[in-house]
Amino acid sequence: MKLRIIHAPSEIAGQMGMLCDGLRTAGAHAVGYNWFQSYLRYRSPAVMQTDAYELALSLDTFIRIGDLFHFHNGNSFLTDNADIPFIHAAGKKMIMHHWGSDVRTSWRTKKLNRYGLPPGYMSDKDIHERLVRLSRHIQHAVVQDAELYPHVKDYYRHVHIVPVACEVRRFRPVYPVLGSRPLRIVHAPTRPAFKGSRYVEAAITSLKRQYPIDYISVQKKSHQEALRIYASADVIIDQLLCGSYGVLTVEAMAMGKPVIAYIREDVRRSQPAELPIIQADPQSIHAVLRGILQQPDRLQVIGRASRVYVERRHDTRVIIPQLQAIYNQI
Amino acid sequence: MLFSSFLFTPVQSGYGRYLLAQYMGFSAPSNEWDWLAWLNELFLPHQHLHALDQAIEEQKRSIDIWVTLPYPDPQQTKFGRMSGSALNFQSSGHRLKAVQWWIRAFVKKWRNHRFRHPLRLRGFRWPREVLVQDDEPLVQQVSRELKAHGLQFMWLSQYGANHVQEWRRKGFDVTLIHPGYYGRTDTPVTYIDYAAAFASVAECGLQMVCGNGFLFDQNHPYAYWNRGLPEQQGYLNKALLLFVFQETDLYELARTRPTVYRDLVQVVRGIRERQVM
Repeated sequence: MKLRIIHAPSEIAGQMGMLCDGLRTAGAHAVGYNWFQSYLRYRSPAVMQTDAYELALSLDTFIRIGDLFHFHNGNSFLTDNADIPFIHAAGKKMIMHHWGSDVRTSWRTKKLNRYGLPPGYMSDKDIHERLVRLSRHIQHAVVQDAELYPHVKDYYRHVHIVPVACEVRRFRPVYPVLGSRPLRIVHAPTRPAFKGSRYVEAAITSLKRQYPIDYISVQKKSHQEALRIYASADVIIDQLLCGSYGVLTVEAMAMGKPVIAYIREDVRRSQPAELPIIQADPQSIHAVLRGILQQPDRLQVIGRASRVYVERRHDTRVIIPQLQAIYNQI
Repeated sequence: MLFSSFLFTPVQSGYGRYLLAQYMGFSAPSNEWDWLAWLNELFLPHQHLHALDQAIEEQKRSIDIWVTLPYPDPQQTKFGRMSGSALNFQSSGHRLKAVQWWIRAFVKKWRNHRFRHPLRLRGFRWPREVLVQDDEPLVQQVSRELKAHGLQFMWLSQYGANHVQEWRRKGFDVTLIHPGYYGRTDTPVTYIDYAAAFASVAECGLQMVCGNGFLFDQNHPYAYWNRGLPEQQGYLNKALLLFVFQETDLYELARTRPTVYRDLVQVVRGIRERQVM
């Protein structure tokens, strides 16, 4: 009999939907519940939009019906993860998928990253306490890359790295077409202080004096609206501080767009050597953009390499077997 | 008869597909056969409505009936055919069409049925506790449909839930609040008081929870009953109350927790006697 897999409770950057859809396509029985309604309005046929109250009300049934609980972002059905001991007592399988600010402590970030990141929504103490609480009954965790791995490795018995998932075939590549029009550069500062947006804006403002630039800052748009803007870009700037890349980068690469981001050296070493992300940080962003403006020809090549990279590393057809192999270990 | 109103809610159809919204992802989305099955099941001899009719001892006692609507799951792309056209719930118009069809079919069946006692159809309940953005226009349209039939629209919601303070504006006629207290979660018992105060101000009713399962401690029904006494929050005498049996039912309660059952009977009788006085 097929495992009944329940993903809950928060949709992070469309990943819950992507994973549930992918699991269903692979023949698994997966359903997601999302209590986090945001302006991004991610929608998946496998994810039901709900709230914390409806989830609490349904908990007993979920425990009875579900076989494996894949939680996201450090949350579970009840606040303070009060349901985790119940699910454990019922002998059901559990895995926690951490996504970033839910585990990224300031003290460890300072140790690992030369750029300070703004504090997240949880204090270091709260993050530590929650990880201790979760790992008491959950032995398996998932993170997306080597940047997050150190933040959770001391807590769980098994920490798995599963790259961000993307249904690449949904994205039609539109490679940069260079002509007489100004280069279109797009940046999406969902959290400007986290993404280093002020360095991006400063570089753009300065370079606009010398070069024609069509700069778009994408803010407060639904995911679908944002994707339409990305599709028209020649270059996309993700972030300059965090040292890693996320869903925006992956989706932009799937569209055949060259992406600029700061990838920490140790994180880059952990990735396949052909990772085509254009490296830039707060100090170098001006020079990197100037280089692109002076020699835009290479953007086509990088765009094509980007598409190939996500097909090989991030496509749900690659990710889902990795996830299912982990489920088999729990 | 202890209670003056009954709410009938479906969980799963005989075809194995879930009709209760929050479990729909566990089966294929319900279709016209499941909706028809729920409709027919309600009127089967010796079941549901007829079983209730038979259980009423008092000859002239009138009982109010509420029925939970089947949820038009937006994931359903092949609901079935209606007036020659195939319904796809990705379309909000098709969702409304299906709900209207079900309401009208129920009302027609109801009018053609004879019961021994005066059962009174009061209205229908929206099948979800959460009011998600995609459902809001549909709820308004269903509300209008029910008004055209002279029926009311009920919402069971939660203390603190989105939109609960504006329940009337959203299209509901009756709303009953679940305080969210279970006994074994971090929600303190004082939430019952907060919910009662909110319900009083917002003119909602209150849900009296009696459940079984991981979330519930043994004493939670007493917390709900005791805090409603006149010397405390007073809602037992003043508020519209819905007694909710979560993961249990009256029969199981009487069999497995006879003391709780006996006390429940006393509480409800007490309410009725005070209402008569």
